[in-house]
Amino acid sequence: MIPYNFTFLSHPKICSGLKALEVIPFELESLNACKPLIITSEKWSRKKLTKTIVKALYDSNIVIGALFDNAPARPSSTIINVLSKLYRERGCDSIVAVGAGSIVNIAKSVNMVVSLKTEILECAATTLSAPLKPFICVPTADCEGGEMAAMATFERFTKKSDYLYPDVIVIDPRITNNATSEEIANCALTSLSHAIEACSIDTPNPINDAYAHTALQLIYQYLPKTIKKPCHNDGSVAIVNAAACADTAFSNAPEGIIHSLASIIVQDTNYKPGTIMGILLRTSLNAKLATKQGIRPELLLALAGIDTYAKTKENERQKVAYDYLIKCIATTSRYIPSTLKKLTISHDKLKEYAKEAAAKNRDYKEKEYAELLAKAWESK
Amino acid sequence: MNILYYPQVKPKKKLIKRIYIAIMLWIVGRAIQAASKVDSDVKDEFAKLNNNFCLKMWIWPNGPSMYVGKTNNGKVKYLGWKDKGYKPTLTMTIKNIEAAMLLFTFRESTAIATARNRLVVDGDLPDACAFVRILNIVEVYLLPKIIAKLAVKRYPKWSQMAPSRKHFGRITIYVRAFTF
Repeated sequence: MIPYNFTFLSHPKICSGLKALEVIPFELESLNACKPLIITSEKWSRKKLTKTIVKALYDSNIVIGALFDNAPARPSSTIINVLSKLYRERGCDSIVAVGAGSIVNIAKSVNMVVSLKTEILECAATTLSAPLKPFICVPTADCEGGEMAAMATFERFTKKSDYLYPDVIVIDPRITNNATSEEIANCALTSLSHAIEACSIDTPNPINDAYAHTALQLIYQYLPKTIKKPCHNDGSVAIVNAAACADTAFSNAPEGIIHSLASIIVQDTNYKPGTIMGILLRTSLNAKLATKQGIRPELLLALAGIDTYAKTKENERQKVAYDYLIKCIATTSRYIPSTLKKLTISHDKLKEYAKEAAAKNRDYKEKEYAELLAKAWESK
Repeated sequence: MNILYYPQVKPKKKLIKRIYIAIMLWIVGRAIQAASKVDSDVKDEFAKLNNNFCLKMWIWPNGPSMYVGKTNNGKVKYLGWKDKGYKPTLTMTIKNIEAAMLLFTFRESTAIATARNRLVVDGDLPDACAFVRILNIVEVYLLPKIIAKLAVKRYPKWSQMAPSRKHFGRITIYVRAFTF
């Protein structure tokens, strides 16, 4: 059945692969920009990624308005205001974010402030009704989910808008191969959760499914070897590509139970989203298999390919797809614990999390959140 | 936080790479002119193009560039690297100097570079396809087989280009390209 009631938007242009960084000047010029503000963190600066970026802009008409390499781990309003001031004083006309997580969120927030000419806290209540300044995202392989999606997180707010997609996503092995195995595992699990949640909804969206399936396929194929060797060029590029696909799928689907719960727990505990999502995903998949709902047989096609899909009996496809997913999650077991209990999350807090998640995302009942958390706290 | 600590940066130039590309474009341009007189396939490809055909191949944003065009009597001429008010009917823009380096150090063939979106073509697509075919033939003449195999989509078989034709053509093209 072809569903005819669906919407889908994927705004960013993805430039991926060998010498992808060198397209930044061309893309900036096609977006009518020539003076970007580059935002990155000290960690990536120490690994000489800023040098790589500056070298990639050689022999172009681009002038870097400012190279800010001190982005903090949290997108606070102070840093957003400082960067907005820097952007205005230097006469910048675009933003390039090199990194993931808070770096991209800071860049998106600065973009909102300078485009809307307002304060950051007012942005939370303002509806975006026009495109923002050109924004290029150069992700590293430590993505926390949502960097390449149509959303931005700052302070304790999460803002969603179609205009928050990056204009261009540049995925270059020179940038992606600097992450550790743990960061790769976290990135992959976040993308896996987003992709599975995006293609588990009741009303299928074929284009969104294509993105989610691509993400699943890339993760299944490349996660084991990239975890073993995180500097693997193809592997790290594939994992970041999967993150880009999963973020797009996530932007076009309603927020799932895993994402809602994980965002609440991450805000409270400072654990990486991938860690929490990995634990919740395993528990959620177990529950889905028991009820035979939410795992579509087509997942097997994405994960294992046409040969295995055709060989497997129709009534066994869900189970086999589940086995493949669990096998994929198991490759991260060295870095991601199997229960919330092992993360030293207090059992008393679970009710609180369930309540907060139910208030934030009303698609699920508080009871459902609580059940999932209880199983994830001490599952076998 | 002192924002003056984060300076404005003006990226430098890649002078050596630019010189290498400029030399390569000059050689290829001269070789195309020579091949149009020596090789029947190149001659046929050019014969199908309009008489006002003028190609500009350049590296965005500041060059180097190469102009090749047809004169009123149908002869193919390398017009140089400077824009002397030519009106190109076909512009092939290579997006950056690194993409040009991949192409002209034969690590990527023209077909692969196009597939990887490293080239922007402005003009008639059939003309662009014809020019890529011409470029492939010229590369086969200019380069030894081991390198030319990397640079072209399909290296011609014996039946398509006999060794005698290839070696004789290679000598003639080199002599013509570097003399007159």
